[in-house]
Amino acid sequence: MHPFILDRPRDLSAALALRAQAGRNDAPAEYIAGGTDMVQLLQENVRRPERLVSLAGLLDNGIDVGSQGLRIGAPPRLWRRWPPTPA
Amino acid sequence: MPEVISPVTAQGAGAAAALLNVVLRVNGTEHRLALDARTTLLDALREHLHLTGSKKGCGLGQCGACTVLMDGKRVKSCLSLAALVEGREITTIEGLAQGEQLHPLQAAFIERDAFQCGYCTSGQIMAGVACIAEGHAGSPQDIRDWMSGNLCRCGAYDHIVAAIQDAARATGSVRGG
Repeated sequence: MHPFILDRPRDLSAALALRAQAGRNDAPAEYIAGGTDMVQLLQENVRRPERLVSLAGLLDNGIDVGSQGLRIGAPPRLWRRWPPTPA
Repeated sequence: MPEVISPVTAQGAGAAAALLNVVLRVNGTEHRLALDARTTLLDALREHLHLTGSKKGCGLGQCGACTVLMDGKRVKSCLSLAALVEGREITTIEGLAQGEQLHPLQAAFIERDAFQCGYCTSGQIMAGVACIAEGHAGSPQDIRDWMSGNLCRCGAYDHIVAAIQDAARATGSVRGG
């Protein structure tokens, strides 16, 4: 695994300020959430970012059904929450 | 083939990267470690805390031999960076028994002869504990579906399913998914 600097920002705005990019092979800084995908890519040197910005605990993991419809956050685990309880 | 990680290579022999201070809570005990950012939870457990019950099979999340519980939920410890799981309560196979008293699923694995070489066993047991707690051990097919992330090259699946079914009955946790 290529060495990287790991940033652990306290909130989402701090994470965004680090200007990481997702889904690019040439980005100097990339995001990592749980790691299920990213750690594999790092292990196999598919990705070699200089910096990794952690989103652990910063994203909305809710699944809500309201009058506007269904709202799904970025990292929720579906099987624990399905079917959603109507508000 | 899994890469053999020694403490030296896990720290990155050629890298001058600064070490991160990481506090890991494992089996009820806090450990203060200085880790290379690249250190996975599995390598921290095995190479730094010398808890070698969790096994490295593929190192890519495909085999499940490294399964541990994090806040009671099963995770592949080879795909977690140790520095990102600070403050989480991690349970490994070493933390399952109460002294000499085996966890009901450990006892069931012995009773049902649910292993051959044993390499996948600690991951199977940790995943099985979570499978039962989730309520996914209601039927043999249910167990097979929800244990599909843990491979056994020896092919002890029938006995693994039987052991999980026994333990689910013993702990009164048999219910629908």
